[in-house]
Amino acid sequence: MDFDRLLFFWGHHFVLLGVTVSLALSLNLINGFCGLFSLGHQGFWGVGAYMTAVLLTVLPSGEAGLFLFALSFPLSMFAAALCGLFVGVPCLRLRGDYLAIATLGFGEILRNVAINSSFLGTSQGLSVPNVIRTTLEQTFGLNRLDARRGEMIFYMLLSAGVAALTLLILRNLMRSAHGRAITAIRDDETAAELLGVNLTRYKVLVFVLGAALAGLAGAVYANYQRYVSPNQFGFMQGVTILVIVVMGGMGSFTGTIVAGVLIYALPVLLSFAPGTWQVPVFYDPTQGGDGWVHRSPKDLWQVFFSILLIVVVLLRPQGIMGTREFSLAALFRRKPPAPPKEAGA
Amino acid sequence: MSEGARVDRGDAVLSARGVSRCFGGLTAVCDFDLDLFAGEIVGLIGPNGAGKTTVFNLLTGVYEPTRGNISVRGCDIGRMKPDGIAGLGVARTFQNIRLFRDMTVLENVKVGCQPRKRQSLLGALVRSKHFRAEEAAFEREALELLEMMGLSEVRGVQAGALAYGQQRRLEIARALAGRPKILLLDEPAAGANERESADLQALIREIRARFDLTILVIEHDMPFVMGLVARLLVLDHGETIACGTPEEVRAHPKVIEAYLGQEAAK
Ligand SMILES: Nc1ncnc2c1ncn2[C@@H]1O[C@H](COP(=O)(O)OP(=O)(O)OP(=O)(O)O)[C@@H](O)[C@H]1O
Ligand SMILES: [Mg+2]
Repeated sequence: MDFDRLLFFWGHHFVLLGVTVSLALSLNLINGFCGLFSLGHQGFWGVGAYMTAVLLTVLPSGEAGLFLFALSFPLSMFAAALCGLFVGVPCLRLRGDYLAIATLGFGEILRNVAINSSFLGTSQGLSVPNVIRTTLEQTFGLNRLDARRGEMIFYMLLSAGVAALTLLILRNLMRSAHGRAITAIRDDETAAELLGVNLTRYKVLVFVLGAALAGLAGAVYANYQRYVSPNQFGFMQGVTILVIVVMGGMGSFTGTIVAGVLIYALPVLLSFAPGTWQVPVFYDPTQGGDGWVHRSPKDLWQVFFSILLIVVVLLRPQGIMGTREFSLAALFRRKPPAPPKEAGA
Repeated sequence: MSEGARVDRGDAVLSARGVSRCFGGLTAVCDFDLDLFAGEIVGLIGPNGAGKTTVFNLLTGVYEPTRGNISVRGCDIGRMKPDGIAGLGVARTFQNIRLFRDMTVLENVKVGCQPRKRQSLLGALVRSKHFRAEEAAFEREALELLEMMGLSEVRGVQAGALAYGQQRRLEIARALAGRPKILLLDEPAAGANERESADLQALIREIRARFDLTILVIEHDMPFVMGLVARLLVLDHGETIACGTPEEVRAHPKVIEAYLGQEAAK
């Protein structure tokens, strides 16, 4: 049926897009709004996802399944926040590139711990029981297809809800005196400190809150995919999130959402390219025919990704939105008057 | 400064005793003594490189003194960080303007409210009543300060786009937003013409009275300081070579020598 095809294909991408946007939003708090350079966000995401997987596989679910499912969200946030604290406190003495390398190291260490720990399923990963479908089938007595439909709709709402909650938390934070302290740190750390901003306190806060929100996205991801493995939380996933933040604008939540949709949609849309479309990618005379080796556009999404990135960096080095936010009200408001010239200055 | 003077005028709001700061082999500030009493305006002058800005950096915790101790309102600030000292009511401006250039003028002033914020993080996230009341108060007071500094018109403009004189006044507004008790001004009249520096003098007197401030001001513009302060200290090569009323200092042989030496070198 057509409805099912739409639901299962686009629904799947919608859920993963929600997770990606949530992750990019919380990374924007750390890298964009506070000016710290973290390359370890995928690590916090992974901690959240593994926390959920362990909680749902190790403990006997059955009757308590729904309760454990609900518990997996706060617990994943907590586990990731704890990691944020452990990494943040020693690492925040480092600046710029050193912080980036330390956080990158953290992400890789976690991945290797997972690969080498049989409790965490080694490189095979862990599979997560499907609590929602089981509940729909057993408690509500739905048939298999209806249960699958219900599950998909549930996760679409959940993923959108988590992304919206993340946005709301971060937006409210940034529109407060605490948020102004965070931006002040980015703009001029010394001046901020002299105006009474406790640097350590706010940097740790930013790191821990960013990690907790990444952990929440991890819980959604693990529950939805019903499978976690070390390679899902690798460096490349971290880079993709970082590119979304940079492309959208370091310090713009709406920019992150726009760039998140663009970057997530790129490979999905390319996958629609007809198989007959072939792009010559390199020349090799030992090959048959005219020597040109062809590829389908869908195999070349990373090339398009790079081109998109280069175009944005060339045209708008501050990102699509810079540090501004998009709002309908602002579109209709007139521009503020230019600053009057000061006499004699 | 004799002990007698101290007792006469009540306890100092800020005092430095034998404060020195070395950078490698260079002693930027040597055996510096200072008592600031509530409500006074004191000048700090000296040739280029005398160590004036270093004194500000020591008083605000940017540098730790190599020797000596500093106390603010009875609190020893020896190992305190700048944010803690700001919390005791010390605010400053900078010789090389350090505004948050990408923020608007109004946002800059609101950042200055940091030492006074009482809102909890949770309150901010759920936008509690107390949070909204505090934010409204910050906004209102920031607008008042901008009004006073003649910056109301430009409140929505990026700070980096302001004219030089406006940026200097914005730094003062931002410093005042934290309701400090002690204000340190590092060359507030730099780059100002005669009329502007006269206005600035009046402005500094006004804020002193209105906010109950004690002010320490570094300035190269002699008529400006001489007309503003009751007493001043002269630094040269990190040493305090003279202190007293403007007349005493002007007539002091060491001061004449330090300034003449500088003129001769030019
Ligand atoms: N962080 C530092 N490291 C090394 N030397 C420093 C440092 N800060 C200041 N100095 C040196 O200390 C001396 C005093 O500098 P300071 O900036 O306090 O002078 P100043 O009196 O403010 O001069 P000006 O009138 O030019 O502003 C100078 O010789 C300067 O080079
Ligand atoms: Mg100086």
